[in-house]
Amino acid sequence: MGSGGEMPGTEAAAAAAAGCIQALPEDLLAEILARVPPDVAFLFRCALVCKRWRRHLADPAFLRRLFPESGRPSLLLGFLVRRRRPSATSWRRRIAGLFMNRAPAFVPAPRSALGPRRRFLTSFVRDDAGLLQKAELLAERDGLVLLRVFPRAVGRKMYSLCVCSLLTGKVDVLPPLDAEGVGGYAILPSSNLGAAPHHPADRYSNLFQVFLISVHRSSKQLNVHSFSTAATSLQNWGTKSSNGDA
Amino acid sequence: MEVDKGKGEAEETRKVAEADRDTVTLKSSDGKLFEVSKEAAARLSTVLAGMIAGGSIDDNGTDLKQIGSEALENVVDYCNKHANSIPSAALISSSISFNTAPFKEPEEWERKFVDRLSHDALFDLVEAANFLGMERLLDVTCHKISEMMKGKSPDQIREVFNIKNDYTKEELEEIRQELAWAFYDD
Repeated sequence: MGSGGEMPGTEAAAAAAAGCIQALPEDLLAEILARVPPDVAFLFRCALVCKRWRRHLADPAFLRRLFPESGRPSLLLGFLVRRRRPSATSWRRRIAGLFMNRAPAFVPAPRSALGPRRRFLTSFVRDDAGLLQKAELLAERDGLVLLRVFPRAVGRKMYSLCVCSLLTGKVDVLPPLDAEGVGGYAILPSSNLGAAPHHPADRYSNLFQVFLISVHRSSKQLNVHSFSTAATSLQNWGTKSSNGDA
Repeated sequence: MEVDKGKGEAEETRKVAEADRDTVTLKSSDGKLFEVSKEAAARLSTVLAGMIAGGSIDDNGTDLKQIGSEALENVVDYCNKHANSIPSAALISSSISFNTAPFKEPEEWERKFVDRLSHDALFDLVEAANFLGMERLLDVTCHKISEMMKGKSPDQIREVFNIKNDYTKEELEEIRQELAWAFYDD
């Protein structure tokens, strides 16, 4: 412990002479910054003071120390469950009639960032048109939910799909898709699309891709239908086909 | 020897020293000698405790080349005040949990102790506390410095601590965008 305290270099020496915080060793600066919370917003604003401070505030070890694992919300936010359709029994139908909202319900995981209470999907997104009341859940990923609206409407071949973003509260209604024998659904948020240079004004990227797989009943042709919100695409469904024997 | 501060305590320290070799003598970088109770030194500083246990304490003044006389005087002052005011149990528990937030709030007398220090003295004391492994004192001094930032804008913080802004305008704007949520209320 005898040596190592000396600070060579004129800049450091000048800073030391001024009794400056910048002359302190790194670990002491971290000690000081660690005492700034509980005002977390203020703590992060301190990143604007200088590059050295920013380096400390962005250091994973520093952040882990301030916000230990045990207090962190679970990565799994929760589950969406489809509400059961009222069964034939009359009393059940009557009870179901009391609860008009039949949109899918969200059941949060323990310590979910979305709060401890169960809530309807419609509490995340605006649904003035009542689109989600009878919607059927198809796929979920990273806060994006793919739903089929009017699943039992006339003309069953037409797929009316919409995508709800639980994080931004946006609902995107996709153009209707004419497909038959759809058996698989997937939604990929933009973060999974590799580089996503385009950012909308609110800085929440609402970009996603939707994939449907269908098998044509008579020709046994396998179709992959894809839809992408990427700015470069045509904002419509694309279909790739291959023969079933592949 | 201690000159102007805490004469009563200094007197007492000396009396104890005469009765029994119950003190350690510390020597600052500029050669000044300070005496502090062995018990307090061992309890408050892990480094001094190690030196006492290891027998590397020099009766003619243990050299602390890293610490100037003003800072060392404050260290000794703090040790004396501490011996008179705090039950050791509270201290021990606070030093064990040191590495995990939240930190223990400073006591009233500790607040007053650091409040009277100049900027320079405060920063010197932080370094001295760190060097001597005085976790409680480090806690108190770091807390004081972090309090000096409270409610201040980045510009004001730079001014208070005499920090050079090494960002370009564009870089500042970029971070501001990145941290938009932290700037809601201004």
